[in-house]
Amino acid sequence: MLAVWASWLTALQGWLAARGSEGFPGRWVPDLSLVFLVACAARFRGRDVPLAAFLLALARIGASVEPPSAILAGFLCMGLALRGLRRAMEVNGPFVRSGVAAGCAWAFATWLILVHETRAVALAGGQALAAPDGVTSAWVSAAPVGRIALATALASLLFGPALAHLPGLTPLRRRGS
Amino acid sequence: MRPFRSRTIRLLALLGLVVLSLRPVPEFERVLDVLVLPARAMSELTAPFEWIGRAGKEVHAAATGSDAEAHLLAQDERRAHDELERAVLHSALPRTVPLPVGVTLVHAEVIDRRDLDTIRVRVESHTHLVRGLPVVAGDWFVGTVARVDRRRDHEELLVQLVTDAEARVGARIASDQEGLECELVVGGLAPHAGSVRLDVHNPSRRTSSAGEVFVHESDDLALDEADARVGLANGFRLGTLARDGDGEGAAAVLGVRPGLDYEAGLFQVLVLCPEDLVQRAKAVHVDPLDDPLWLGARLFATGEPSPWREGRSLGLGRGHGLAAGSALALGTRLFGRVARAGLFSADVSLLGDPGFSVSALAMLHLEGGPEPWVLGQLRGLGRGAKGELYFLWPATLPLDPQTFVAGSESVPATLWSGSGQVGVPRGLLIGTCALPLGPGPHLLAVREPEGETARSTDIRVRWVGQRGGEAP
Repeated sequence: MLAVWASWLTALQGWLAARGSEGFPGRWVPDLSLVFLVACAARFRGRDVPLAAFLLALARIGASVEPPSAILAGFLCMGLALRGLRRAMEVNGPFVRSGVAAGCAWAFATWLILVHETRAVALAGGQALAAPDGVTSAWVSAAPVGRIALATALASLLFGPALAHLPGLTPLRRRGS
Repeated sequence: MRPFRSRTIRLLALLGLVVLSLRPVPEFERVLDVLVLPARAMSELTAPFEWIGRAGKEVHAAATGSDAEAHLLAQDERRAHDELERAVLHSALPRTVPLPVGVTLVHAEVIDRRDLDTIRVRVESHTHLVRGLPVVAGDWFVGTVARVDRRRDHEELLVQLVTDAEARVGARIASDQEGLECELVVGGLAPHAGSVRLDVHNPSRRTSSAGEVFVHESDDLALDEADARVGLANGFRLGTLARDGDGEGAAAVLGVRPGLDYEAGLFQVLVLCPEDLVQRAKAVHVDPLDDPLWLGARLFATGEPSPWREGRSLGLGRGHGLAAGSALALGTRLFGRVARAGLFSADVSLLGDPGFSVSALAMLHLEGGPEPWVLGQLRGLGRGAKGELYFLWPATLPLDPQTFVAGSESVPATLWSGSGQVGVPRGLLIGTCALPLGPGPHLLAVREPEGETARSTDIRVRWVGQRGGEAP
C-alpha cells in the first residue's frame, strides 16, 4: 500500500508540476514524496525507514525522466539521514517536521540538478549549461530549489500527519510505536 | 562485528550508487533499467490523472469548436514544412559554380555523424555510387565518398570531410592579395584556437595570404581512379585564405576560413558523379514526415514530478527500435527527443527541458521572401517565466548585419529541426523567434507554435533500430 500511495502522490506532484508553464502552482509545487517520507520516518520503526525510502524511490523512478540511479541514491541517502536524525531528535513535531522536509527537498532537488548538469555537460563535451555573459541563465531561474523547499515545508506542516495515516499503513505505524 | 560489516557494505554500495549517478556506466544503467521495470508498470496505476486531463481538453475542444481550427492550423504548418523542404533541396544546388558537362547531381541527406570528420548520408535510390566521388553543398566542397553501403531500397554513404586529418584536395587561388595565382593543397584542420581553419599544405607562393580558394584537382597527379574523381568538383569553393594571429605573441597561422559549418551545418548535400559511371539517379524524394520510420507512441500516464524538468516516459524502448536521440513528433511539430532508451520504456526530454539539444535550421522571413539558414546545434536552457523556450545558439555561421536588414538587430525566423542527427528528421517545427545578427553565441527566446494541431494520443516516435538495419 505504501508503494501505491507513493505512486499516486508522485502522479499528483507531476500533474501539479505540469501546470508550471501556466503559472501557479507549477513553480511552487511541493515534493510530496519527501513530505510522505518524512511523515513516515517520524512514525515508522527505524529499520523500516530505508525500506520506505526505497519504495518511494521506485514510485518516483516510474514517473520521472531523472536517472534511476540518481533517484535511488537520493532517496536512500534521505532514508538513512532521517533514520539517524530520529535517534538524535523528535521529528514528529509540526515545525521540526516541516524544517526537516524543507531540508530534504532542498538537498534532493540540488542533487538531481547536479546530476542532470553533470551528465549534460559530459554529453556536450564539457560545455556547461550557461547562457552568454550578461544574460540571466534560464537554467538557473528554472531551478526553483528554494521555492520547492518552502512549498514542501508548508505541505509537510499541513498534510504530514494525514499522509502518515493513509489507509493501509497502520501495520507499519503500529510497529513503529 | 557482523552488523558493523554489513552497515559498511551498505554504505559503500550507496556511495557507489552516488558515483554511478554522476559518472554513468551504460552497462549498469541497462541492468538497473531492467530491475526497475516493475516501477514503470506501477506508474500505470495513476492513469486516472491522464484521463482527467484528456477529458478536460476534449470538453474544452467541443465547447470552442477547435477541431476545425486545429485542422486549418495543421494544414498551414504542413504547407510551411513543404516550403522548407523545397527551399532546403534548392539551397543544396550550386548557385554560381557551373556544372561540368557529363556530370550529374545526386541528392543525399545527412543522417548521422560517425565522428567530427565523417558523416553518413542516405541516397533514396540505387544509383551505384562509388568511392572517391566528391560531395558538395551549394557552392562549397564538403568531402569525398569513402564507403558505399547498399541497402534494400537505398544507399548509405560514408563521407570523409575535408576537415579530416588525412583528407587532401588540390586547390587554387586565382588572385591573391598581389593579384597572382597560387596553387596549394588543402585538408585537415590548421592549429588555430577558437575557430575552424582548414589547413594549407605546399602553397606554390609562400607569401600568399588572401584570396578565394577553389578546388583544383589535376588528373595528372591522381594516385588512382578514386583520386581522379575528386576533379569533378573543380571550381567549387573551399573558403577564404587568411593568415590569422593566434593570440598575443603567437605566430600567425595560414589557413582557409571555410564557408560551411562542418560540425553542425550539413543537412542536404550533393554527390557529383559522371553520367556514364553511375546509373541515372531517379528523382526520388521521400518527405521525412511521410516515410515509414515512424511508430505510434504512448506516453505513460504520469508527468515529470521535478518542476525544473520537462519530460515524460514512453511505453516503447530499445526493444522496439528506439535509441537515445529518437525524435517524437506531434503532427509537424517536434515534441521531444528520447533522452534514455530502456528495454521496453524510454525517458523523453521535451523542448523545455534544460540540456535538450537539437540540430536546427531557420527559415528567415525576409522582405525578398523566405530563405533557409543553417543554425547548427541549439542547446536548451529551460523555459522562461512566460513559457518561452530558451536556446543557446553558438552562431558558428552568424547572420551578417551587412547582408540582412540594415539598421535591424534581428531577423524574424521560424525554427525547424535539421538533419544529421540519428533519429531526428529534418522539418519538424520548433517555434518562432527573432534571430540576432552578428557573431554569437546568442540566447534565443523561442515561442512555441500556438494552438493544437493534433491530439496528444497522436504522438509518433522515430524508429532508429540497429545501425544500418532495415526499416520496420
